[in-house]
Amino acid sequence: MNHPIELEINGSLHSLCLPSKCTLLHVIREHLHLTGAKEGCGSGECGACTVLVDGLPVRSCLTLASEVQNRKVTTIEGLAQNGQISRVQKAFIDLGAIQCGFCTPGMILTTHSLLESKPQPQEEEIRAALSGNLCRCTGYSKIVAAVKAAAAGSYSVPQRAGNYEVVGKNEPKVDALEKATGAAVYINDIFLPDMLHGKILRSPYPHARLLKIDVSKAQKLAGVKAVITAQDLPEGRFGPFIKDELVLARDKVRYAGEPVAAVAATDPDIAEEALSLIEVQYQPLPAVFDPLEAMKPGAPLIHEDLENYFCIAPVDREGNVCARTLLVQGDVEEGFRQSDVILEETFRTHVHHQSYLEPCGAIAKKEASGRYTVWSNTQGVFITQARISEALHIPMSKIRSISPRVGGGFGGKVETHVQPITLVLADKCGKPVKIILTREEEFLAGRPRHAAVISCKLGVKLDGRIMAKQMWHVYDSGAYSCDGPGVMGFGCLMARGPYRIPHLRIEGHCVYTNKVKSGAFRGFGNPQTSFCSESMMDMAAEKIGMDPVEFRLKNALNPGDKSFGGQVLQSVGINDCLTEASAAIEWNQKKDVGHNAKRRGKGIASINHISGLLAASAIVRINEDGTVTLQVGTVDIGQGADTVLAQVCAEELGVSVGDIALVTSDTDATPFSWATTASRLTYTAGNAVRKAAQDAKNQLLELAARRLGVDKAELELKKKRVHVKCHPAQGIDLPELAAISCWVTGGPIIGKNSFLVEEPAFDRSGFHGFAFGTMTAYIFGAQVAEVEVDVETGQVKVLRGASAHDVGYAVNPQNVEGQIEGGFLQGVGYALFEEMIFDQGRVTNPSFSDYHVPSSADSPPITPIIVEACDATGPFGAKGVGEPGLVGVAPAIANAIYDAIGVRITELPITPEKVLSALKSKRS
Amino acid sequence: MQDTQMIRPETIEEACAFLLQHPEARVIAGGASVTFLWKNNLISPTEIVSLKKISSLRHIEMDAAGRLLIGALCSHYQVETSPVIGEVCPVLAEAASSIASPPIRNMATIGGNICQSDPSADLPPALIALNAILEITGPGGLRTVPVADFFSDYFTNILQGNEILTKIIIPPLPPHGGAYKKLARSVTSRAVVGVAAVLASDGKGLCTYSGLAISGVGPTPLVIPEVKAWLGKKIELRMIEEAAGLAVDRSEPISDANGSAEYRKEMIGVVMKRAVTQAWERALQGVPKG
Ligand SMILES: Cc1cc2nc3c(=O)[nH]c(=O)nc-3n(C[C@H](O)[C@H](O)[C@H](O)COP(=O)(O)OP(=O)(O)OC[C@H]3O[C@@H](n4cnc5c(N)ncnc54)[C@H](O)[C@@H]3O)c2cc1C
Ligand code: FES
Ligand code: FES
Repeated sequence: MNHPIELEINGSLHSLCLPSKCTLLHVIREHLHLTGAKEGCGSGECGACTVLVDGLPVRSCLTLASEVQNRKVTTIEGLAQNGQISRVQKAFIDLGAIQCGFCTPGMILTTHSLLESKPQPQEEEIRAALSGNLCRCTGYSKIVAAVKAAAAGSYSVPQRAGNYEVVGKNEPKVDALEKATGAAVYINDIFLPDMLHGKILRSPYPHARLLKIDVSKAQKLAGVKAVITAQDLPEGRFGPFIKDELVLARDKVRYAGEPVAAVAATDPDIAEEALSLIEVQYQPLPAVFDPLEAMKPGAPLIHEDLENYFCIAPVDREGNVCARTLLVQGDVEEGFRQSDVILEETFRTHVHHQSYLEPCGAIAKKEASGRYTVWSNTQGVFITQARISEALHIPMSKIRSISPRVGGGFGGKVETHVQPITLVLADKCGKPVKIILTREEEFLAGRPRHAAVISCKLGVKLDGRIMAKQMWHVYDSGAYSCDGPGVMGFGCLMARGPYRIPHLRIEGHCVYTNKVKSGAFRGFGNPQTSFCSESMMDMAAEKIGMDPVEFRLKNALNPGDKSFGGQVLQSVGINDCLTEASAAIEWNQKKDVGHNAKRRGKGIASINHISGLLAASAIVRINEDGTVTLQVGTVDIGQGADTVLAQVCAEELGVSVGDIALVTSDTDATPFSWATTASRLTYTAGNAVRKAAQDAKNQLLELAARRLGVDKAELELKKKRVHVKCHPAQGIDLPELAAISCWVTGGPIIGKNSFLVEEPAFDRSGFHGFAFGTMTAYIFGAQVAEVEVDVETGQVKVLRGASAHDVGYAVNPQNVEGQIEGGFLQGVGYALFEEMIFDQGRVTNPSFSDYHVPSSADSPPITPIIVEACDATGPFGAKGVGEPGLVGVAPAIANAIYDAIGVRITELPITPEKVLSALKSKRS
Repeated sequence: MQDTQMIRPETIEEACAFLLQHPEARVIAGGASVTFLWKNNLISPTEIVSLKKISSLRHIEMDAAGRLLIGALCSHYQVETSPVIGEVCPVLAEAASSIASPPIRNMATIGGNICQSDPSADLPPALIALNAILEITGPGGLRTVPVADFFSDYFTNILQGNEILTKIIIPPLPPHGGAYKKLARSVTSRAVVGVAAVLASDGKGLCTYSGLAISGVGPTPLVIPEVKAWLGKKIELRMIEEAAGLAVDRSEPISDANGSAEYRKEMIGVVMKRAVTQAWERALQGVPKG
């Protein structure tokens, strides 16, 4: 039953009739369509739903609408005055404080309230005030800077001098304004007429046979429009490597949380109620949760049909091991014989959730033409299209996959989540259907980072040369392989690290267990192997009595050296990374050891990574007025790819970013690009865009040459004008030239490029099983942390961090810094705070109250350092930076802890309890 | 969906009269817990009584007898920033400021924090250490209960369905020092162990008041009455360790994502030492700093 309520929102009175249970968030989003307030958790933990009530920030998800009658509610939409954005909004835009933007409205509102009560807050006060607004992207550095700048009232955006007009500059993000004002449209902000809401029934068992599903009662519930089970779908198995996953469980379930049935209804609550009416009979099966147990003979078999699954490459599978890799170089036994010191240790890492603030969701609609449109927050519209196609046996031409703005992904939104289920429901009902996961479902059924067990044997000479390294990796894939073979294979490839090591034997196994399937997450197998390797580096340095930085420098790669496997590395900035990162925390100065219970230490780690792989393509169209339309099938998930690609295009065509209309993330309207993964967009899509722009430029120059009667080689395009290089006065303005092409001669100008990283001759003789070959340009980084360990409580606080990255060339330095800072903090979370905890395969902490994403108050100041070892193959020399910012943080912290208290933690996360127990064993 | 009637009385009497008729009705204060439970169908009240309009419940004042009266509807933010609380019992402000994050502190109320009776809540130990008393209004009028006697189990207390917590009364205390120390996994998360200590000393450095309570280590806040034996003595490490030993013996912590039961037990002594030491330093300085 509904009750009348009156709300004053942004100065306007709204009379509504609502159930008393309605939250303020529900009313402003669903009834008033003020969608700047977001739902990130629904439980008061994340702050995405923040609004001001009488000037103070509150959680609108935990506020009943009826309880704020007669009070003044301000949402982000109410901040602009007379069409002018506020100084806080402006500072957030100018200073790069906005990435995915999902936290931004709440963050900005909280800042307003802070500056109201404290016009000149100190850094600590800012961090405390914002501690209820989680941001998963920025590491808070740029947010804190923006708040300070807004408080000060005046600031300048740093700009460096360079050879270029547009690239290399801190262009504000092209989507920052819409994100700062709450206007940006994310999946949950789309409302279609007649739209239904879907919910998913999930298995409570980690391993069970599905005997019977009875949906008859659920179907009869008023408001229910469709109930689906596996019987309603083709048996389409899908996956990026091994096709082992189904949209809905068919004969058995393999993890607690696996989708079993789904409902579409007129209202989410009805859909939820219908789920409780579905009767499922399970026959529980013996389950296995530990990957080492799962590898033993006689362990419960999770995929009986493994041999028969289609696989995109040979993976060497058996039992519960879905993929194996062996990479050999030199003769590791000989290497150990040549070593003076040999160390062996085993490390363990845990399941780590991406925890993007925006939950996964999709809307599907069957069009009158019979085609399907699927909007979803995905990192790759083409991957989504392909997976739906293989899962549901629908030709790609019938699927239009679109991504609106995405509230963070970090790898977790690469593979499909609810898109196929949503599509099937929409098909059955003939109406659009929306499904948005809850935060709990995110934890139960997402695709988090693989847990791993990694053993390493390292041989070094007393002079500091590393002679041999042998590693054995087990990556816990969970119930399905998903990206597991790739994560494991890539982890193995990165296992050498940024060092010259003559003898290597690196082995990897990817193993099924009855836990939620793991997937891609920033670093893709590299953080696990680097935690082991970089901890071992410090152990070795200590053994031979060498400074950890010196030891790393001694072994670091140089330009012209080869990657593991033999790819010649053209650009290698590891030396500068190590020197600059260590200098940033005064590595060589006598350290402040702390006092009493609080002990201090410094640690370092260095890493290598890649700038991506696979294909991208771009189309550049010159509009008849000389502006440009850039079509590229990439998805900007907050990192800033849209801006960077626009900068690349603008630079090449002599226009400004504002002259470019960007069309992205739509399989109908943009050419193919593989997903936003592997730190690849600037490099791969950047190359495609640059070459497409060059193609268009060429055509413009040719046309101009004809019109001006000069040789093309004498012309250049700059500042929207083609002119003769040695007679700048002689030329044609770009708008005129564009108009000529459209109306007079030649026809409209379209530049295009298809770019694919191809494998040149690569010596695969030492590579067995699932193995990557040639990659794009290698990237390098060094990360340092200074920590304070409380030896009585075991708590570790990161006092400050610095992270230096060789990015080739920083097309947008502010964006690069944002990636470095955000990656660093996610690494701190990985190292110290965040862990998915399982009991008999069930996640026991599926909420932000028990899964601790670091807040601004938990975060150290982070110094980002950009090192530029330009790579001739990258656009303007650029390489990648998306992932490496996280990769070395955990070992840097572990090494700093060792420096502080002399105990070596070999298991992530480094909880206070582990620190205490390690201290105890050291004492005894 | 069942309908829920929402009542918004403007006086305590009105609220009590309604509750007398509907003892099953749910009181809502800040609403942070009630809204969460309700929207997730963990409770399904048929009536809700909102206290929002009872402005008298938002007051903080000193009475003639020198008692500090805090209305149950005062938000954590009010408690944290109230000048009189900062002067009279800063330990309470310190505990309030340790709760979650500013938006939660703007919403949640001191009364809600007590009535929710979450074993990890931060205000109860501070209130117990201050010897605070609860004023409860019910059909029969007022009754008072020491905070220490209010809690009965996990999320359970002695409040009857037709009663409202109306005031929190801090009795007059000598000039004292207080400290609340909260050990938590992150700045915004719940206490693994929280210890509140309130101590006063005479001119000669001898203890004249001792209050101590611990959250997070059992179904209800743990009180150690033996600290009364500190009266008349100088507080020494040995005495704190003895009290911690008793606390460890009497604690019944559970394991959860924030910490194991063993860790919680182990931390009691550490956190207690830090809270008591700081409270005692503050007591000796004679400045009642939070
Ligand atoms: C995300 C989050 C994090 C939190 N973290 C912490 C923390 O770190 N430390 C901490 O101590 N607390 C924490 N809390 C709890 C918070 O401080 C409050 O205790 C809680 O929200 C309840 O207060 P409220 O005013 O919102 O009460 P409500 O939700 O309105 O009510 C809670 C319960 O108390 C009853 N009740 C409330 N007031 C009265 C009254 N005057 N008379 C009778 N019954 C009443 C209600 O009927 C209900 O059962 C957290 C809460 C959230 C949502
Ligand atoms: S959605 Fe309200 S706090 Fe997360
Ligand atoms: S920008 Fe803060 S969560 Fe993405």
